[in-house]
Amino acid sequence: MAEIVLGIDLGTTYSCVAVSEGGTPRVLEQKGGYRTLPSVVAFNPDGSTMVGHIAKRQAITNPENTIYAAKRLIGRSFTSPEVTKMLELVPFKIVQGPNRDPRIQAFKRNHPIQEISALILKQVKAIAEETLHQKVEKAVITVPAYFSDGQRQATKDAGQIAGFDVLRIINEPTAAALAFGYNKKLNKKIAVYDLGGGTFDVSILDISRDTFEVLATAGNTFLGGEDFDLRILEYVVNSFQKEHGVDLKQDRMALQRLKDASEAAKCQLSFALETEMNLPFVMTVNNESKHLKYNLNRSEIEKMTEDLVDQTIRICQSALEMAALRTAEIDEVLLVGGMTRMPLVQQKVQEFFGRIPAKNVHPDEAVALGAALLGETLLQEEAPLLLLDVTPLSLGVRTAGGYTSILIRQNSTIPSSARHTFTTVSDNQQSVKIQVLQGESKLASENQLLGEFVLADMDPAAAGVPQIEVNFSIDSNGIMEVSAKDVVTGKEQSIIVTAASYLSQEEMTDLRRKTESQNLTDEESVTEVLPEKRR
Amino acid sequence: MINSDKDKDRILIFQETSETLSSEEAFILSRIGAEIRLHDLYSLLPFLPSTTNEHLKALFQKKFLRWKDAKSDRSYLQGASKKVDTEPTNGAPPAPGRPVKNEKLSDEVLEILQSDLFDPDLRVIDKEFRKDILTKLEGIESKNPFDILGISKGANDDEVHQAYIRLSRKFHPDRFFRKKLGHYKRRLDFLFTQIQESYKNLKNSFDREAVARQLKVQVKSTEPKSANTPQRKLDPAIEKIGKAEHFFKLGQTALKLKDYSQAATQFQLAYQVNPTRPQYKKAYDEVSPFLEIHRAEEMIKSAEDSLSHSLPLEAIELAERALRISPESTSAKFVLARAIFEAGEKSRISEALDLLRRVKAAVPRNPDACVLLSQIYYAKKDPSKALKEIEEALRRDPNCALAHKLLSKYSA
Repeated sequence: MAEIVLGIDLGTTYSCVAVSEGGTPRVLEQKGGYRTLPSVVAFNPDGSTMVGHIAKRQAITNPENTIYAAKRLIGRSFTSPEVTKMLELVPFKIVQGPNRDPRIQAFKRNHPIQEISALILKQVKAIAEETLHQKVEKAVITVPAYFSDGQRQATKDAGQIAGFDVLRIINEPTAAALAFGYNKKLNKKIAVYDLGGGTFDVSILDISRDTFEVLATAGNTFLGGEDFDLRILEYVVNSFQKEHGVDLKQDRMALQRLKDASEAAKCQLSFALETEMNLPFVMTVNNESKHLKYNLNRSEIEKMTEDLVDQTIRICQSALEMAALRTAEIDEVLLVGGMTRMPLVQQKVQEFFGRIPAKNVHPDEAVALGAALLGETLLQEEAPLLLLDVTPLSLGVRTAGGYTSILIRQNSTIPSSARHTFTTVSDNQQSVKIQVLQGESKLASENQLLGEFVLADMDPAAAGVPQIEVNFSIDSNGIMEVSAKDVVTGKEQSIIVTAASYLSQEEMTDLRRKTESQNLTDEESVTEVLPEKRR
Repeated sequence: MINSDKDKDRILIFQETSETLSSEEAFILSRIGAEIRLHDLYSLLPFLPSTTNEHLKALFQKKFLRWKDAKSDRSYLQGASKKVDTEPTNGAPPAPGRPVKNEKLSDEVLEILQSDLFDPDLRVIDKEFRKDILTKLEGIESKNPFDILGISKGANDDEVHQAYIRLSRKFHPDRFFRKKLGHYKRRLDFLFTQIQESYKNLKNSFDREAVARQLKVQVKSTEPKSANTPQRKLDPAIEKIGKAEHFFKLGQTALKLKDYSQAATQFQLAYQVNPTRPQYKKAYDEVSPFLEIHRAEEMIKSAEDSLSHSLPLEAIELAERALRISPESTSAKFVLARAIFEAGEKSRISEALDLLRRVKAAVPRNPDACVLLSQIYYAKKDPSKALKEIEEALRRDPNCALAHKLLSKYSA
């Protein structure tokens, strides 16, 4: 049986899985003909889980234990502003984990974010195995191009917990470009505008036949469809407060219903000019049921969200500057991600690039298709395509005085490596601590701390004498590796990684065993159980 | 037949025949050995070139000698391949894809390729490719970006990009995604990083011109200094040998000045830097007993110091340590005995007496041991023996003031 590699687009709101055979990728459908899977996980009191459509459907009745948008939390530190923002918005409970990482509390148990993502991936695996009638172990998983090292590592870990051999972590816009340009013998410079459920990326690529060279990438990992939904939600909540004098945000169930309704209204307004938001019995105040009924039109929500779209255009501008290109030099613009269905987005992108975006790219599926293509070519003896991707963020070390010394610049082609020689400052110093940072700020405190590495067990010597050469490298997945060598003796120097938000080795194996033994509740069987629950 | 000017670089080969030889001819053949350049042969022979030519003519006729075909000569080929090597730096880019003939692999590359034979994982990677990686990596640190990308300094944007893509296609680590690369993984990653760096520096036409200009300046500035530069670019191995020799010399100077500790340190350093030369180790081994004696002497001195500061217990310890290092040292024995006496260690007094008797026997001219002995006997209330020792001391040194003083005291 031929070896098969899945291409998985692990999205903030929806995930998609594809497989490629003979250079032709196709999306794997689930039972019921769904081509995408909601990235939603729900916990039951007995510890079992529900994933996908079924989890999304029961969200209204079980908001505290229904986890969505886990991708917005993955690989971040609990104290980061993004997590703080999430804390206010979501109905489920986020607590701090042992490595300063956020964890989700459901039925008094703390779940690492990697576990939530792994549950989705596990479901994806089940779907693929059922459709293909064979075991699948290998996968290429996509991440937003602007994901940091920690977020990529966490995604890779999630894949491993789900039982995948993760061949590659690939950037979403790059994958979309692959799906667009593979085997077409193009010679073009293209821009990929990827506005998804939770993240925004833009990549500028140079395609020359089968070589895909990323020239620059930029983005915001906390800007996406969810933020558009929130704008609508805020608007409705405010109007409702003015009318009835009650805050809908206090009622978790109402909030969840409103969130779903906002999303639906946003989607409808991409095609219709006007829609109705109708939520009967949304809240009960003093034994009196309140109903919510608003008419929304397209120009209203465009006004609400225009600044978000403008933000993406500014990011496009900076990406072009980094690629040293003018808009006129771009031959093609691809729109990827569900949010690009919004007419305002299409209009602004068209204005900025001065050309009509390509129509032959499926906004929801292109990323998974591209990942599947890459997966297939990776297994081939002589790869028919060459992918030159870049690292989105600069990698540096903290220097004396709290500044950042950059070792690998942003938009460097990966794999890439840099060396730096460290020494001691006092006599007989036994260890050197190195803080590795990712980000563009000159101040170390404003960049993201990837981890602390301790060069330990150094031989006693006078200050400044030991020369430890540390090799920082970023592999093709965009994940950092660190190794150190004593320049004088040539012996490998041991390195201890601390203060990183990674899962420990024990925790990884633990989670892996857990997900292996606990077979996910099958979608069908849950469907049977669910009506009883609703009653 | 033989033109000494024209043929001086041609090579003679000896071959065996059954003809008889004159003594001169035999002598010439003995110098030729297997093969030799005519020019070199002249310098080896005591005859004039004209006489040599006569004899050589005879040898040619007897078919003992023939010219080696210059075209199959290895040294000739080396010269030719050198010409090929220098071509790209002169500005002409090597045609891509055309294999350079007469390719010469360095010993290091050959060695690595040879050792690869023992690694079954590496056999799946094409040998030619491995060779390419190694040759491309050779001396890459000192190469300029134009050489790394294999382009001329006047290349345009498209040529630079094409060269980059061509090299990336060949050396991108993804190409061997499923294969175990062993030690080539590290090499390949490094090579790819270098290619990228070069491309980054050259892809923009302004940057490219700047790099080219800088290279021109560098070439000019290093030319007059070329006599000095090779010295600075010493092979680390050779540098080590030199360093070790320097330490060794320093050690020898110290040895002449009888500064044993300094000498020992220098010899040890020399040995550590270059362990392959046995004489460093030998020198250290030779000097180390002296070092011990030196250490013992230092201890005896400090023991005497302690005594003069009336710290006899410390003196005992120091003298004992000195004695352990050099068991035959008489001064150590003497100091120990004196320290025991001054400390009033009654339990060890017989030991002190024993030591002093030995010192007395070992140094027949020195009165000190006798004086001290008599002092001890006096303290032990044995005046007759004390008197005897004093007399012995005076016999050894009639001018010993202490002995005279003690004599008058004891007689009283």
